[in-house]
Amino acid sequence: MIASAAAPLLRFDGVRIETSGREGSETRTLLEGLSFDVAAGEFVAVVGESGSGKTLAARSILSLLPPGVRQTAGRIELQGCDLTRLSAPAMRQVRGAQIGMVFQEPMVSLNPAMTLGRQLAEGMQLHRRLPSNEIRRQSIAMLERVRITDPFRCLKAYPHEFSGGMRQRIMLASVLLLKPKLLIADEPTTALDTLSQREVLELMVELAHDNGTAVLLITHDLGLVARYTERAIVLEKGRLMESGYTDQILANPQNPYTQRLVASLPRGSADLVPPPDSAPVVLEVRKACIEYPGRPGFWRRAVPHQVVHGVDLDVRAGEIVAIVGASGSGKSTLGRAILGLKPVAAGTIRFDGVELAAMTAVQRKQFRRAAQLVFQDPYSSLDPRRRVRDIVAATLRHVDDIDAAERRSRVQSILEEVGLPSFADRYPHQMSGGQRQRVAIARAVVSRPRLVVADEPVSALDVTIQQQILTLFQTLQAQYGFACLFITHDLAVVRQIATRVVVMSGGIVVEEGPVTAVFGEPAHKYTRELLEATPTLDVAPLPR
Amino acid sequence: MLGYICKRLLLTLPTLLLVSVAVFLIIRLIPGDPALVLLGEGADAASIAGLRADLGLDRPLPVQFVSWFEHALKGDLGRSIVSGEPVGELILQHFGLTAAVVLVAVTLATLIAAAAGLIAAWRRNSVIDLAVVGAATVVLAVPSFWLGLVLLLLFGLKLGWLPFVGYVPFSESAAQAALFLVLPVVTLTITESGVLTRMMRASSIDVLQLDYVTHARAKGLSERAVLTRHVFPNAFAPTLTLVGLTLGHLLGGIAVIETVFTLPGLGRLMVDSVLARDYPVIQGCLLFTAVVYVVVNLLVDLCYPIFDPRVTAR
Amino acid sequence: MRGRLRHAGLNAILGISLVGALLLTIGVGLVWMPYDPIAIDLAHPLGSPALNHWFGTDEFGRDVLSRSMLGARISVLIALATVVVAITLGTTLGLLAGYLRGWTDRLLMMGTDTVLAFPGILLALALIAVLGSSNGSIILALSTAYTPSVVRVVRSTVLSIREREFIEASRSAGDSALGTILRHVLPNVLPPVVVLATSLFGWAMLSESALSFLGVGVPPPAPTWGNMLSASRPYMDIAGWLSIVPGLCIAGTLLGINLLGDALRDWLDPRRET
Repeated sequence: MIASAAAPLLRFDGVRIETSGREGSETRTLLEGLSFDVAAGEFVAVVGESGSGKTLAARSILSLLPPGVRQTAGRIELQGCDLTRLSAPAMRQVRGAQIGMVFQEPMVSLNPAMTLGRQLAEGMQLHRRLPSNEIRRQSIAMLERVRITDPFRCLKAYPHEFSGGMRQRIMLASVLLLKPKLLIADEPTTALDTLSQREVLELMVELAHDNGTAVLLITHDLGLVARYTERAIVLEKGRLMESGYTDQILANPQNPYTQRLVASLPRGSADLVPPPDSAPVVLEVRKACIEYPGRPGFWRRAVPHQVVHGVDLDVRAGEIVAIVGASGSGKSTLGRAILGLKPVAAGTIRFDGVELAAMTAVQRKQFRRAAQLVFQDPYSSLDPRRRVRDIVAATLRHVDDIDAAERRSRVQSILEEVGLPSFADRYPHQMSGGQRQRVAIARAVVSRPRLVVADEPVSALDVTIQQQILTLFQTLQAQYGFACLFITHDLAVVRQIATRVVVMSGGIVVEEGPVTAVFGEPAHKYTRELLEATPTLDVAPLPR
Repeated sequence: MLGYICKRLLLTLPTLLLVSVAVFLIIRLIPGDPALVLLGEGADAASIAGLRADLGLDRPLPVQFVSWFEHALKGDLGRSIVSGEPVGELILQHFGLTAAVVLVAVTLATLIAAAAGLIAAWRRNSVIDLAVVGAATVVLAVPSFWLGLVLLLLFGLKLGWLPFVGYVPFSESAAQAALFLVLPVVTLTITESGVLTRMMRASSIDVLQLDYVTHARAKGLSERAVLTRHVFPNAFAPTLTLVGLTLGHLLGGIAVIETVFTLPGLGRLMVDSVLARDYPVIQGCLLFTAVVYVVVNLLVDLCYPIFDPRVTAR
Repeated sequence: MRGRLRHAGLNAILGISLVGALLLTIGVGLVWMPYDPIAIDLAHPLGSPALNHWFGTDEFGRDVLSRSMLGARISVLIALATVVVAITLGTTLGLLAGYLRGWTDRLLMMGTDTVLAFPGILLALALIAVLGSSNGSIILALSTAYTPSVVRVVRSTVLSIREREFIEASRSAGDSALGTILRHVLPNVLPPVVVLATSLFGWAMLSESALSFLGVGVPPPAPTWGNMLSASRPYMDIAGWLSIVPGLCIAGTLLGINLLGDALRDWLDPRRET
């Protein structure tokens, strides 16, 4: 293993990964002829959507491909040494000590049955053979470095006692304790909210700089790529589309796929028009308080837990209002309460001037038809046992003045409008995530509602699909003129789609107003933090 | 942790209470005079009248229950119609044998299942996996009494290696007693290992796909360390629950095995009592086995945090 | 992924063959049996398997093959009845407990926990002691022992479905609680219930054999594989086949049912989730 000054730290050379095709079924190529370099201390992004092969590329470095998948061609070299030719014991020496890896889901990336102290110590015991009190000392120092407040307690605790963001920081500590030369970060912050995301990534950058560790950041988020990396490669369906310096690729993409990717980012548009002042108020929320009943202990009564506290909100006909906040801010609960799916403990919610709690049965029926919900998760919001046409027709079933034939034709026409003309007979499992969300939108819009509450409808989708769904939503809204409450955590989406924004944190509204005003000159500290934490393409990369 | 223990303990009390009520009521379902039922046809009028007063049959049902319950707590469960012995003593005598067989067999079965299930999951779809799954599937289909008969036929009759009928108590000769128990224990071990292996294999497969296993490998740990330290504790937890349920139920009576090998265990006692309509014994056995079941599951619940610390948080 | 489906296919083929053989035997037995299963022929007791008696004769000279065929019918009928009762009752209670929660749920859970505290065989024994020994009481006893398991499984399935967003969507479209249960919850609960039903059928057959083996099941002279095994014990050294044949029938049937259940579970699973 001869290291030369000119040789890159990591080199991929013509790597091909296929499914291993057992028992005669044909092999599928998942990654084709991938070649790129990472220099020592460099930050490189591997960008792609689902199915691009980016995770497989990352896993192949340490020979951690899932069963049924093999690398069939090419070399992966670490300082000139071909990792694919290493014996198993030699590879185990490389893992952890030379190359470290951080994973996506903090909930499952730490062993729930083992104390954190033991998990932190494992790598050290294996590769360094230090005495246990020295390991303990270094672990505590590293935990302090990643800003865990009580490192001594942390060593004796279990993973479930910490939040997602903290677990990712502990994971970083555990991996970087060994001072590897390369850190592979596989979507490390996708499962975290915006503020935690920023904390974790900044920490990662700092620690990597400390030790001169190179970082390979696997992600689909172009904003993160812009802010934290120097070079990037773009993958689509297993092929390398483009590679080069980050700022150049993003400012001036050459490859059509990269161009599509960059164009798909949600951006503000100047031609969003707020409704006229004469537009009637469709939804009026005053001092709404929503509680969760709380779990009764053995000897004490259940203490209700306040989720939403004293919220005021107005939505006019034809207006799109965005509700922004981190998970746990109460925004989803509020959305459901507005539709009458959760009871309000105090305060009022009025739809077209009529209070929800005081509606007669007839009024309720009309309300159900006039107010609809689009859910976040395309995989659980559609009944897996029903066909698309039944799913979409569900709201129409309760409308009296429509017969079966009319229902069918309305369903067909709405399916055409959402771009799924021939999907009426399909089942959900036969469709992709984007197609399912289109069905969910069709279901919401088919009854010509006056208000649509959309709860994070595009968060679970790939960037290019996300833009398609957002555009579809905007088109339908312009055409049918329904008022919309758009719940999201993504500020860029807010810029693209909404005229007004309400910022929530901890169950209360901290700020609200027109989007340009609130985002241009945020009055509240939380809004400011949120805006700073959100990486966009227009933000200059952090100084080295 | 202490909170978890207390909570679990308190949760068993209502169940135990309900169980006692159920046992009390089952016997009352029999038509006729309960005192006559409990003493049998051949009892004389004086004993019947005495028992009737004792049980307080003219008092309301809940009061009867309370007095029965009090007696039961003191260990007085009445006397057997057939033999006249106190029910409590009868049960304890027979329970010792059942417990010996069950505990040894379930321990062996758990060890086999834990190892086989883990290895089968680790080498999924390989020859080893297919063999393990195949064996477990076949074992599940074979009734324990038939397996016992076949083993008895083979090793007892035809080959004459092991004694098969009857039993020698431990107090007389431990070695002899052990010999008599080999076939029953082997039969039960084989029978129980089928379902435990499948459970262990299924949960191991789930765990092997989780990120923390890949993370452990990414640290450079050997496969052995990954399997023993990271996969096993997490995969074993659901199997442990099953072991508890199995243990609890088996302790109540491996009636068929005891019948095949003519062992005077608790299950056999129950069957004989049913055939003889010996209601005090039936009632006593039911109560005893239900209490054992609840206690065993409680102990298992208390061990659970060793494998899955998350339960203490809830 | 292919490998898994292939295994499912193999399981299904084997399972169908075994269960098919069972059904065929019962079907044939309805119209014709080689000999009268109850007719005693003291002239030819304990005959070993031969061309005129494929499975030999028992201690009363009765043809083992014919008795096995009749036994199949009786066991299957009892098991079927048990499954129908347990599944119907259990699914209804499980749906109520899982969907309504609150006190309904708590009461039902206390009830099932109590019943589950008794080992199945013992509970069946106790109930038979009270009710007397007949086909009806066996069915009643076994159903009582198995209904709590059904309730548990259905309840936990309902709990997980309940949280899924398409249930909320149904409510927000205006469906009543009953409408949602019938239209959305029930169809999604059916697959696990079907798998459970096949397992339950196997357990019921096994339990009925065990009870008959112990002497508290189907009363003689009606043959079931269980009591045939029991009766074979005194003659094990001279007429081994009497111990082998009924057991083989039980094991073969159970194997077929288990394989079928496994194949069913594999078939229902990946299609739904991905």
